[in-house]
Amino acid sequence: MNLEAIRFLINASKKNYCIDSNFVPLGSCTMKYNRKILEKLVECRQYIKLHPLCGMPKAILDILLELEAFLKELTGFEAVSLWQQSGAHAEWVSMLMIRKYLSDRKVVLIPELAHGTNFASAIRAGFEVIHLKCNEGSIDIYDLKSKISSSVASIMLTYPNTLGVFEDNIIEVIDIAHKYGAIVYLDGANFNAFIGRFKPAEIGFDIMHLNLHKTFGTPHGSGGAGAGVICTNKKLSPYLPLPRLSNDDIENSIGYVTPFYGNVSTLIKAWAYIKLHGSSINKISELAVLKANYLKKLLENDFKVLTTKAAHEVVIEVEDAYSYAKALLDFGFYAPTINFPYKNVLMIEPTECESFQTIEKFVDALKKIKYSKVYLNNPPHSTPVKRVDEVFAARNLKLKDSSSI
Amino acid sequence: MNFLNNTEDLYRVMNILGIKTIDELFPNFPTSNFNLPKPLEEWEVEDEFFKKFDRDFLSLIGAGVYEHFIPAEVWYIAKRSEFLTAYTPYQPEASQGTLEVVFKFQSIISNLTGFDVTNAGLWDVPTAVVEAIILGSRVKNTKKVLMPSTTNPFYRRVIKTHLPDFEFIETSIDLESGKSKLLDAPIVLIQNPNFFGVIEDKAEFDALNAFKIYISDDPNFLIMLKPFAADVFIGNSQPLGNPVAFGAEHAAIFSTKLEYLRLIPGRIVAQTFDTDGKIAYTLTLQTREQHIRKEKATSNICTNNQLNIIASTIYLMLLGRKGIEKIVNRCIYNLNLFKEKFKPVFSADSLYECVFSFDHKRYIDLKNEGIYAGLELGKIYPELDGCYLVYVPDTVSLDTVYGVINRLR
Repeated sequence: MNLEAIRFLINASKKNYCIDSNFVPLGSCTMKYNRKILEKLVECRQYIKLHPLCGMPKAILDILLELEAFLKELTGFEAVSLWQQSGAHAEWVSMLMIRKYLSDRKVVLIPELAHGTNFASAIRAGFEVIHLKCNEGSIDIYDLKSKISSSVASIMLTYPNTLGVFEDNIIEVIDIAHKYGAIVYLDGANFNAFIGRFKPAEIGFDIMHLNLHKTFGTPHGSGGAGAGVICTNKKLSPYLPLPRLSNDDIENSIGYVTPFYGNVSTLIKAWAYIKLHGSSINKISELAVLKANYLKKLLENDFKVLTTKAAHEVVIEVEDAYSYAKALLDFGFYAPTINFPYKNVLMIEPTECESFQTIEKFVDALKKIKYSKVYLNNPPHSTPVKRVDEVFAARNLKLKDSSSI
Repeated sequence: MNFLNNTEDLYRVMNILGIKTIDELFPNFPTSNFNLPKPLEEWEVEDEFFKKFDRDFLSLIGAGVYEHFIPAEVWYIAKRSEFLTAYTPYQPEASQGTLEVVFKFQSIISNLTGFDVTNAGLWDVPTAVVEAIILGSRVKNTKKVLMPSTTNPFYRRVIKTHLPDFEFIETSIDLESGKSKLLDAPIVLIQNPNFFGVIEDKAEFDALNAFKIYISDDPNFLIMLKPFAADVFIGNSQPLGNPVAFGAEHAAIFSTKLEYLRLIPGRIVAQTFDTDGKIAYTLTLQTREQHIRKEKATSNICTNNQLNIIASTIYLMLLGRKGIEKIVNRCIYNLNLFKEKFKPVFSADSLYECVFSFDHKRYIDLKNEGIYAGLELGKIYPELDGCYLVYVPDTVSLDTVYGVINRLR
């Protein structure tokens, strides 16, 4: 046992901001509190010694089937694939399914303000991507009408959109896509905004992914492990990956996307999360949206708010998002999402977990930064390291030292 | 811990927003009907969960998921709030913990494998191989890949699903030696030791003129088995400090040559300085990534399995070479006990995994008692019916090993 190494690791850990010690208001990431009971379950000896090639124990099968049932109930969809490693993986796999279903269509339409993974995932599946113009965050219907055709396999949507707004024209967009036989995909990163309230399948989406490490409270772990679950209707369910937990018709499956059973630990945690909330799960979206609206109200008089009618997150314009982000670190807040979906914006998502007081303190900090320029004097100053030289990092490219075993 | 109940200020805030009900904040869709059970307390969830597990069993199977000793410290440290509930380290000033540890990981792995550069980790071995193949296809302008049947079959089928436009040549197994049959192709994969535990031929691999991808499914053994020269190294991080956990706890190691740096997927950490001249760490070359380049990104990856990589780093640091040596020597010793009593099916040398032929009825009797004396190969490779792929973890006692051997003879 290497005591020096232990001290290095513990002291390093203390240099991180994290949900347990700081407000992490990252828009579109849903950084909600991660309950430790979820960890306790997957640490038990009976589970951690299970080898995936010794058959599926009834315990695991029960839990995964129940998780599937919950997710179908929450989304309104018919069939689920639990195996994808992340949101981006789920997007990629969904695009492969759509490609097999509509094999003669080569184009995917994506709003220009969508999350970067949407574009990259469609390309991975071999599609050509065409951007849709947006007006104040919402899809420009005229642009959509000019670009939709029977060459379009799918349109990838985020709802609420990436400005945090429940787009008014969503039904019209879905109808136009369906009229031309295109599949409507929902990037479910923002599911926290309406979980337990209405079902995306009932609105007309054909297929979606959920990020368990966002909406379902499994931890981010400094960058993963997460899980991206795919939920879909009858059109696409025959194409879902293997293995299938229910005895479905599997001959049209696109094949295996995981060597064993994906991130089962994350799946179990999400199962437990849903059990803890049960029929109260709708309170999550109620409070998430209420708190985002409160945040918006507090910001309106001092900042240009781009989110016209807030769902669960708020986007504001600032002079220099990068500097604001660094200044916020000095107030003990992790920075919100910056420069997405536009340059020089901050995207702030309080989630249902933060108190009104924390939201008020956060807004106070933003106002102080805006009105008292002292906070923008090359921040941050109170973090474990000061402003990091990223230009030097990219030029010098020191990507390792002599550490070894 | 129930955030849904702290609503003392609820009415005050609703007043400020000028709403009478929260419904007014939502679109006009009719509220759907949700058939969900009543919320449970934590202990109720625990009870329900633990009740589901009934029996103990013993598994002498590797095949991509290798049980090893993991010091208790590894997950005590990895699950500290600061690592567990931290975000991806995009704001370096508030993420030095993650960045320092990942930089250590990159360093240890690069120095252990001999490859120039290592990224922060990818999802799992097969999808990391997919990334390597895509890199190779860019470098060599090709879609043709040699993927021997001696590569883990659970990985091969995942690789094929993700690359429908590629042509895969899956050469047959040499039933005498157990080695891969290699031939010339623009992109060549090799897993070493291969799926059957057999150590591959370095000279034959070196002689190929191809974009080479080398897969190490248990990097603990890198201390005794140096990787062949290749363009990309893919490692399985599960055996480094991650529990078996039904195959759930894993990430992939991706290392390559410096010349490919700007084409590779995933995050990379670089060492630099802060404004005070203090050493600091940051993500670098992010212009390769999806959040900046969208369609033109080198990959679509965003969330990787970072915490599992952090666990691997802690494991490597705490055990060091001596600790790992102890582990690998035990695995080899345990397997040799089998080799003394049963003749390996393949003639070539094996290290920590080996194929044996057992009496099928005796195998099934053990299996019915929850003892898996190896992975049944006949279902995956018809030509190996009656053969079993055995891995004996270092965590299995000698008594248990002798017990299983005696039952099989």
